[in-house]
Amino acid sequence: MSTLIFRTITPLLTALMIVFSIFVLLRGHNEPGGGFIGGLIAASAVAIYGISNGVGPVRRALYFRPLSIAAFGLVMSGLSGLWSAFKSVPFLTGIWWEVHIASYIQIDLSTVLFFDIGVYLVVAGVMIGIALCLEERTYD
Amino acid sequence: MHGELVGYKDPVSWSVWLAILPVVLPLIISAVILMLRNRPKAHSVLAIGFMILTTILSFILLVKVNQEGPLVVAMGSWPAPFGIVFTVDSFGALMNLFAGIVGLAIAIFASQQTDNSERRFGFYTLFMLLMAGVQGSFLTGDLFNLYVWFEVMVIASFGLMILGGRHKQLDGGVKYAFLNLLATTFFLISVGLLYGYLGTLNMADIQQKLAAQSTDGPLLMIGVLMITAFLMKAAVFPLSFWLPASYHTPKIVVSALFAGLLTKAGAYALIRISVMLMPLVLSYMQDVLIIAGALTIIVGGLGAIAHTDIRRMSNYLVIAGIGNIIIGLALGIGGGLAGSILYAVHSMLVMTALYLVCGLIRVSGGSYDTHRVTSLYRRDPWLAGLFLALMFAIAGLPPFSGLWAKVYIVEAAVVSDLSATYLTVISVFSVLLGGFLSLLALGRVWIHMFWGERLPLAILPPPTADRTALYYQGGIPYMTAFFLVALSFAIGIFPAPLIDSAELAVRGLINPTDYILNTLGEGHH
Amino acid sequence: MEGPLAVLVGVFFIASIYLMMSRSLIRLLLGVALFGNAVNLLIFASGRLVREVPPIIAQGAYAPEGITANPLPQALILTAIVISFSFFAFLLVLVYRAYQDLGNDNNSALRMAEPENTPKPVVGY
Repeated sequence: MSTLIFRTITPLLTALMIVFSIFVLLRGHNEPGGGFIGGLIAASAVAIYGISNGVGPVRRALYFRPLSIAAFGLVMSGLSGLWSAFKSVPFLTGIWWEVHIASYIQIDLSTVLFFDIGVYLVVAGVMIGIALCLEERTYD
Repeated sequence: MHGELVGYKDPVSWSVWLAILPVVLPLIISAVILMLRNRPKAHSVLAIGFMILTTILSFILLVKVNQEGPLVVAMGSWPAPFGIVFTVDSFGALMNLFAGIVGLAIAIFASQQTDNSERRFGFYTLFMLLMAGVQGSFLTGDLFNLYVWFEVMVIASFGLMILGGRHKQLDGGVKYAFLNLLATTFFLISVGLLYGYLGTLNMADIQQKLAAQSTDGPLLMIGVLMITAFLMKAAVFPLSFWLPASYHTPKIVVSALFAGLLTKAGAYALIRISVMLMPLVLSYMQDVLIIAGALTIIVGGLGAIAHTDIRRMSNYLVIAGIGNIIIGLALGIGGGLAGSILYAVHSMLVMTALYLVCGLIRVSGGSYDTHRVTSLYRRDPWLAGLFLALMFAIAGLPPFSGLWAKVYIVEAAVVSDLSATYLTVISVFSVLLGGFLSLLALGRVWIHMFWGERLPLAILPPPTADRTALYYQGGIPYMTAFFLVALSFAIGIFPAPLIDSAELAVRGLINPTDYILNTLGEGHH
Repeated sequence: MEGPLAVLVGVFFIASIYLMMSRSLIRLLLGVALFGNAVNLLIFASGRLVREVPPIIAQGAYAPEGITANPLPQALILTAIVISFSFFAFLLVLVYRAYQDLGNDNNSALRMAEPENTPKPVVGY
């Protein structure tokens, strides 16, 4: 699988796909997209890198175990739901902040966004875990 | 930087978090444990600590729900019937509390029985995930959400079932996985059909819409399918074969967890769906359920007598216990349903304790086989005493909790106006015979393993040392099993609080006005 | 439009149950996969079918105008697909491991958990 052309193009492709997955994640707020599909795109980016350069470099690059990433995402989603306890509203209710960086830039942050990032990490982590496991099995 | 609320204006009281935390805490902690893979010592500390917290919260929840009526939480502030809600009534809160207690006992017992490699493989992660699934299915007020929690529970149980990966576990795992998957899929089919029929998935809304229906043809078909799915989950006789094929294969602490919680979650859903949502289907199926329950008890009792491996014997005792719950449910409105709920609670405690004691026998005696262990009372008098107490508790003899459940069921069978006399006879006879058969099976284990002076059948080689035995330290495992039996004893001596709670739960199930009112709000009623 | 889909669901169920009757674990597995898809189609059909009207609420309005497609069954199916996919992956690995151990995929050879010739219980003492 690891031809010269493939190995040359993969880092570029992977970086592009990761950026695209984050774009899809953030876009999912008001338009089609979201954490689930973003996570899948990120996982396929990592899987492509694994196919061309081997699983070892991918694991080193990720630093964390894929399942730990997924677990962190689950914790993040759960905690973003629990945040509504401080506002006396039911579990998982969206709470919004407007952050003004300069006088003309305004960013809307919400617990919904953190929940979605959590979903992104869960899906990406689990799928990367499965993909790397499958790519490691070169025998039989 | 300021927080702004969208949509939801009325602040909710702190008490809604009582309904959320027993589900969300185990879920988050399971993920935290997964992240702490390389610190296996911390796993058990986290799991035990948070199970204690969950159990305390569940207790406060039960007290609060019993005093103030059903508690409703609308997830994300989306009101029912459009959003997913948790509606906690007395029945759900009661089952939730005892699930918490059983889970706590398992977490403590497992802290002494699992080694580091099993923990790294994810024992406590899967355990906490399973607890989240069980408690979620007790607390949810939405039918599809119930399906999702069931799946969470089932997928965690698959992982636990094959943890360790011995050949026997693969075999048990294949049968367990296929048949459980089939049962949950049957449930999903009936949920889909019910949605097509009524256009809603909220349980309170379903109850209201079904009560307003004039025709009952589609309902009977959907209801029978749904009840069949839960009969399979609860392991009722003709659909019970997955249980004795698999429950003895995993680690004993996993078997104890499954025996305590999984079949009872099926029984919970069965009671919730058939009594609260579809009383018509229940009355339609009354004869079938009584006969199936009686066969379950008898097949379970006879199966228990036929086995010499105490784990496989315990599998059949679990099935026999489920039969009592089904008969109580079929007898319905009278005391039967209260007896059924009492028996479910009793069964959670004693079946978990039974498998834990099996594990202790394995360590003390070296084998699970009655042929290979003898005169255990000399080596381990405490264990002998524990087993004797457990024998009485499982057979439903005084002074343990099973007695009151059986009294309620038998009384309901005698006083209720069943369509035929033979149904009364079958109910009473099978409940009493079930106690007798359990006593016979356990009594023989007592005679052979604890009492005897010589091996009854010296054809088998002497037992070999067990690797897991190394992990028993001190008296903690004994204390755990003792705690469960003592709780059963305490309920047997002071049954009033539990009986009151069960009767409150029955009233809430039969007449769910408060449930519907609190879930859907004033406008809908 | 629901009628033909209902027939298709029936065909799916028939095929999957036929496969699940088999002794071969692989066929059993295929049957389960087909079963999951049959259920998804069933939920889809029970949500009623409408052609090409996306359920989008116009700006400023609180409810969609006219009849739109029902978005709920799609959410339910998505959940069910994810769940049945994970189950299928688990079963696939399990069956593969069982195949490695057994050397064939005949499920009547799966007797490790329930061995056939265990000694009988002692009758007297």
